[in-house]
Formats: sequence, C-alpha cells, structure tokens
Amino acid sequence: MQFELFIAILLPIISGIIVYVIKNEKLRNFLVIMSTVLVMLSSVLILHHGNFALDMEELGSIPWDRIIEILDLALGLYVLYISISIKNVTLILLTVAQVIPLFIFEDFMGANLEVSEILYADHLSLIMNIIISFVGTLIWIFAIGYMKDDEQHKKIFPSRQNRFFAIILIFIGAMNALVLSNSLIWVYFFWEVTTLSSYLLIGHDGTEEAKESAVRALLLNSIGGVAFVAAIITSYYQIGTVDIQRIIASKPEGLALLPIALLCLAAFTKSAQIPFHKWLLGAMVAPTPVSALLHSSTMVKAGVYLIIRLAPSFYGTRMAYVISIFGGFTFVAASLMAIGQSNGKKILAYSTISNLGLIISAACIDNPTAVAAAIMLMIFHAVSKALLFLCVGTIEHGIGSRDIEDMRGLINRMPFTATITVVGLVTMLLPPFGVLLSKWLVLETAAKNPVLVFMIAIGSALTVVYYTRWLGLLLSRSSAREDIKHEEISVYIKTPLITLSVAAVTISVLITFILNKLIVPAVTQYYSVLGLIGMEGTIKGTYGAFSLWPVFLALILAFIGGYFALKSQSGYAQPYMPGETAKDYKVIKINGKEDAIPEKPKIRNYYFGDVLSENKLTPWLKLIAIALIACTFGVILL
Amino acid sequence: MILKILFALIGMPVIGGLVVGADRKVTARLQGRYGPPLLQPFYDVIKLFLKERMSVNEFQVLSVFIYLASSALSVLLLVLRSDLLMIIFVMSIGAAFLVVGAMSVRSPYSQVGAQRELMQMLSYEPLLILITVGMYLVTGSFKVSKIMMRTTPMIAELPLLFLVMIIIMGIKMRKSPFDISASEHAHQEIVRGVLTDYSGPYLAMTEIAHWYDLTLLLGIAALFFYPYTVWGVVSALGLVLIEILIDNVTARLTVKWMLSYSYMVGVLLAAVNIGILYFIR
Repeated sequence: MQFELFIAILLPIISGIIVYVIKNEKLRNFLVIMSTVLVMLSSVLILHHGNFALDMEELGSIPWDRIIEILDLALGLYVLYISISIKNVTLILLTVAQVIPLFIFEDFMGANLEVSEILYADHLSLIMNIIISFVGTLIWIFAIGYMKDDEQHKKIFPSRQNRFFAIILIFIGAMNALVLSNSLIWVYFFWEVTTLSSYLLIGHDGTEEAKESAVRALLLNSIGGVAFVAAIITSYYQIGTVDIQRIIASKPEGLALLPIALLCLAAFTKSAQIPFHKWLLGAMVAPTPVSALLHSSTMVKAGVYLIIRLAPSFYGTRMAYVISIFGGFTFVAASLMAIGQSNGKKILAYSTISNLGLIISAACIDNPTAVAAAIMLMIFHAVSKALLFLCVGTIEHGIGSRDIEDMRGLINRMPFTATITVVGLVTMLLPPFGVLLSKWLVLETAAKNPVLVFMIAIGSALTVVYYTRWLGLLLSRSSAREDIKHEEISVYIKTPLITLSVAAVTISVLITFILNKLIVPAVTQYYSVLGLIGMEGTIKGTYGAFSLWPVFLALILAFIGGYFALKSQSGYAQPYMPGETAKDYKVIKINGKEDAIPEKPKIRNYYFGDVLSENKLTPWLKLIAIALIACTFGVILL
Repeated sequence: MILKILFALIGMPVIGGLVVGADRKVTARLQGRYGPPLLQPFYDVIKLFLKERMSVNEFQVLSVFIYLASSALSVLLLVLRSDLLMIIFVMSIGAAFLVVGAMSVRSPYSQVGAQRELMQMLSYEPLLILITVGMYLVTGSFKVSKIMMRTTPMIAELPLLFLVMIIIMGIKMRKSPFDISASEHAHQEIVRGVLTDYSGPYLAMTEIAHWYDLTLLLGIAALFFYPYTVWGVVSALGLVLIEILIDNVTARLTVKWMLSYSYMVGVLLAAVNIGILYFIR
C-alpha cells in the first residue's frame, strides 16, 4: 500500500522537481508520460485494494507531522513574500492571519495534534483519487501538445514550459494527498499547495491581465485559508481533535458546528461559489490545460470534496438546510449569467460554478440519496468539463477565437475537434448521460424542499438553453457542401480528447455499476439507510426510477434510422433564404427603431445583454449570497 | 404489455392527430369558415411523406429522428407508468434536437426560429417540472404507477397547478399569444419559424412527434383527475378548447413577454399551490 501511495502522491511531486531543474524537452515528455501511466496504475491498485487506514512511519527520526508543519510554515512565508513583493496590503493581512495563528497554535499552545490514522481512504477518497489520477494526468498529456503550440503563438522565448509542467505535476500530487489525508492540518497544507499552484499557473503568461487574475485568485482563496485556520483552531477547542473521522463521528451540535461552518466557508471560496466566483472567471486567461485542471479534477473539486466529506457531521441540521439553499442559489444564478455569455470559456466557467453549487446543495439535502447524487454529479462533471475545456482550447488554437459565435459551422472546419466537443456537450446536456441523471436524482430528493426545488427546476431549464444553442452552432452546415477540411492535430492532443470522450460516454453506460460499486458504499458508510440502487440498467430511488436502456435504445434507433434515411435521400436542398428585395430599401425598422440595412445579414444567439449584464447583476447576486452565508453562521448561534 | 406498447406508439399519435384535426375545424368555425375535414392532419402527413426526401444537411435528418424517437419514447413511458420526471427529461431530448436541427441550417429564418423555440422551452420546462413536484408532494412518488393508486383525484389539492397546464399547453402547442417560434397551424404564415427548413417526410416526422408531445401533455392533464378517467379525458380536451379560444382572441406577443409571463404568472401559481401543500402537511 505504501508503495502505491508513494506513486500517487510523491512521484508527481518528484517528477515536477526534476522537470523544473532539467530543462530538456525529451526528458520532460518522458517523465510526464511515465508519471501518467504510473499514477493511473496506482489509482487502480488503490481502488482494488479498497478502504484503508494507515499510520505513517517516521522519516528518519523526524515525525511526518513535524515535516508537514515545517513545510506549511515555509509555504506561508513564501506566500507572504509574494504578497509583500506585489505590495498588496489585503493579501499581506490575510496571509499573516493564517501564518501567525497557526504557528502559535502548533508550537506554543501545547496542543496534542496527533492523528492516529493519518492516511485514510474510504470510497469517497477512492473515487476522488481515481478522478484526479485519470482526468488530471490526461490533461498533462494534452499540455505536452498544447504548450508547444501555445508558446509559438504567444512568442514566448526562452521556453517557460519547465516551470509550467513542474507546477501541474505537483498540483496533482497535492490533490491526491489532500483527498487521502485524515488530519485537518495535513488537508490545510495541501489545500494551500493547490492555492499557490493555481496562483502560479494563472499568472503563468506574465501579462498584466494574467497577473491581476492570479492575485485575485490568491486573494479570494486566502479568505478561505483564513477560515480554514480558524476552523482548525476552533475544532481543536470545541470538538477536541483535528482528526476528520473523529470530527464526523462526534456529531457536533450548537457552537461546535462553528468549525464545520468555517470549513464550508473555505470550501465555498475554493469551489468559486458566489460571491467568491470572480477568481474562477479570471482564471481563464491561463493556458487551457490550467483551466481544464482547475475546473475538473483539481482545485474547485477540493471544495466540494470537503463538503461531501463533512456532510454527515451536520446532516439534517438547520445549517445544512441553509447551505443547500445557498448551493441552489448559486446553481440558478450562475446558469442565468451563462445565458448572457458568448465567450466559450466563460460559459464553461459559469457552468462549472453552477454545477458545483448543485453538488454542494445536494450534499446538504437531508436525504442520503441526494449525497449519492452529489458524488455522482462530481464524477460526471469532472470528465465532461475537462473534455469541454480541452476542446475549447484546441478550437482556440485552430480558429483564433473562443467566442461561440465564431464556432458557427465548426464541424466543417475542424471536424475532429467539433465532433469531440459535441460529445462533451451532449454528455453535459442530455439524459441518459450522467450529469443529467444526477440532476434528475437531485430534483427528486429536493422535491420536499419547496424553495430549493424551484431554484433547481429553473436552473436546469437555463442550462438546457446555453448548451443546446452551442451544440446547434457547431453542427451548422450549408447545402453547398463546402469543402470539409481535414484536421491536423498532434497525437498528444488527440489521445486525451479521444480517451476523455470515450470515457464520458462509457461511464454513463456503466452508471449502475459505478453506482453500486463505488457510490453506494461511499454513502452507506456514513448514513444508515440509502434508498437507492442500480439494477438492470435502472436507477431505483425511493420516489422514482430512471431506466437507461430504453433511452439508449431510442437514441440508437434514431441514429440507425437517420443513417438509412440519409443514404437513400434524393439530395440536399437549399435553405430558405429570400430577401432579394431588401436592397431596394435604405432603412429597416427593427423594434420600432429605424436602422440602416446591413451589408450582410448577421445572425446571433439571444444573449439578453440588456438584462443579463454581468456588471449590473453581479452586485445583487453577491449581496444575496453573502446574506445566505451570514445565515449559515447565524443558525449556529440560534 | 405488447398491446400497451402498440397503443402508446400508434394509438396515441392518432389521438393527437385527431385532436389537431378537431382543433382546425373548431378554429375555422370560430373564424366563420367551414374548415378542413377532421382527418386533414393525416392527409397532410401522408402527402408530406410522398414528397421528395431532401434535407439541407445530415444533422437536420439526425435531429428529426432523435426528436421523433424521444417524443415517442416519452409517451411510451407514460403509458407504461414510469417516472414522470424521467418522462419530461426524455421529452426534452427531442425538444433540444428540434432546435439543433433548425440551427444547423444557415437560414436566418430557421436560426431566429430556433432561438425562439429555445425560449419557448425555457418558459415551459420549469413549469412542467413543478407540476411533477406538486404531484409528488400529493402522492409521495414520481412514478405514474404510484400516482395511479390514488382513490381521490389530485385536482382537489392541485387546482392552481392545473391552471399552470394552460400556460404549458399554450407554449408547447405554439398557440397565440405563445406562437413565437412558429404557429401551430400554418395560419397565414409564409415562413414558419423553427420549422422553416424541415421539408417533405422530415416535416411529416416533426408533425407526428408533435402529436406525441400533445398527447403526453393531455395524458398528464388527465392524471389530475385520476381515478375519474372520463373526467380526466373531458378536462384534457377542455384544456385544448380553452387553448383554441385563447388562440383566437389574442395575438402573437414577444419572447420577453412570454418569458416574464410564464415566470411571473406560471411560477407564482405553482409557488402558491406548492406552498399551501407544504404548509398543510
């Protein structure tokens, strides 16, 4: 076991350090590919081994706790150095508020912070480990192909790829460690490593915009860091331990819920929930592999992981109720904002925020089935969202734009990438694919909560709009059969795209298997009953059932029917497009306003720019979200 | 079982076609015309099937097939008494692909129609979900089989949600004032919105899919009155009659009006009904 864990956690970190020091491209590619294979393999072995709890031996004569403590201090001081060098007072204060209390607490208060089983894996950790080890590493491979192009596009010389790869390698190692640790102090350390990594990665290009976004990410996540430190200290004094399993088992009540609420606050910042969502929107200035990492398997998933992990400890409390409303609010608000966007990456970012909101909401509904739905959504969202980000990155390199309006008819210009994007969109958008299935499950369990169910019903209708029109744009083709271009893509980009798209479909087909083998044990360990089972291609809950095979069968029949109809049809028609007489007129009246006739008719999606403007809406959304967070803390005191 | 499947796949669209035929007849009489025969929708579809089969591109064809398949499946699932929420999700696959098919054509008419159809979907989908939620709150299950074990009709507890059905039916049938993406009857329209570039047999297939959707909604409306099946059927047909009346006394309005109307009035009615249910229990 020790060996597999070594590969899952330390191998990426060691490879990262080597890659940083030795700037040889061939060696780097070799190391990245080798780490990919080994890390994937290790996660399968760990999964095969099943649940475990492990105490770490001492390294030489120094206990591991001590090492983490020293590294933690070093990390804090490094962040402090960064914040001083960019002269950001708020950031300095936030960093000091983390470093000093933690240092005093660990070294002068005589607190006994020993955790008996420092590495602990239940099915939730195993699921996270698999997601991180497969999705994250596939993004490494993609980065090999992408970063080469990217540096040529942006004319970066000398190459800074060694720095980039070092960080994304360490990032994955830290994420794996985060989900396998059982001590709040350890989790905090790796939490901060991911924060620092994302700061360095977002600022990687060194442009003004990149620097600004990076600082914003660090700032907002530092708020979470402060909350986390406060949680560690209050947890020790209120509950008497920093052992996560013991915290959950203690079923805290009243004021003892404070550390849990603080940890949830930290998770909100990490998962970019409104009002902390700005950093994730800014993060899209970074090279695509970074966005893909942040949005799918790492970083934001750490936040929702923490909430799902802690959910049994405040199951059924008033605090859980408020948080589920908060998550539902983020779900609907972010979906609404996504409607107003034409920037592909921004749509994806808002969609991530909204999906994370739904995961948080589901994890806090007082029904174990909803927790299962939260885990399910986390898995499916990770795969499809990673895929979509990688697609948008590839498209951007291909057509020089990430605006979905420019992707009209992309299926003719970039047939391969467009097809893969369609797979990504369909798996995000439609049943019987996993994301929608999870939403179905959340809706059925949320139905008892009238406020929540309204938000989720409206949010899912909004989601359909912004993904459907994107899908339609990609698939536009005129009857003229314009030359369908052949696409040249590097094997490093092709492999992850194909693997992820196949995976996105496969895991949806195998959903009952995944449900029974992984998700059900992850939930039943903490909740006595779970009214949910996968049987014969049907997901059966207490209130309803979803049969997958009829839907897959109908889709397959439609494909076969469409294929034969196309084969025997008499030809292609011209679209209906009159308007020859338009040039006889000088002006045209649209919505009561006179306008000159445009040279060429321009068609765009509805974006409702006047109503759904980011600048106008965001302050209000933030206000509501802050009020809800205040309620979260308020209900503890009541 | 086989009889049920046959009824769902063949009987239900025939009912849908007849309803559309009756609709055209009644509408004509309201407008002082004689109107087409009751079976005119079937003649139309048969005629369309005999036309030359042409499409603008392959995605349009695929979309039509998916639309028809998922609409048929949703009706089948209703007849087989499965999960209501699942049924609505399955129906939404088809609705989404009708839009995708229209968007795949680079004609401004299809494109604008597709955008408007998306807004139609945005207007009725949450309402439809809320109706299933209301039914769940009354019966404790989303499964039609469980809902049909009731001995008293749900309408007594969900009167406002039944009113919401009027809005949903109006939007889904594309009746005035909600005939924004296209109008139910071709009326006097020269260009027919989201359906502009579907032609021949493919247009016929969208028509049949529409019949399926119509019967699905009528079926859900009838559920409100179960176990009084006759009353259910009568009320569902009554809904159609109300739609026809509204259609003939109102004019097409704008997308924004539709959105705000369905969200203000529709969601409010649902909220009041669900709120009362929640506090009574």
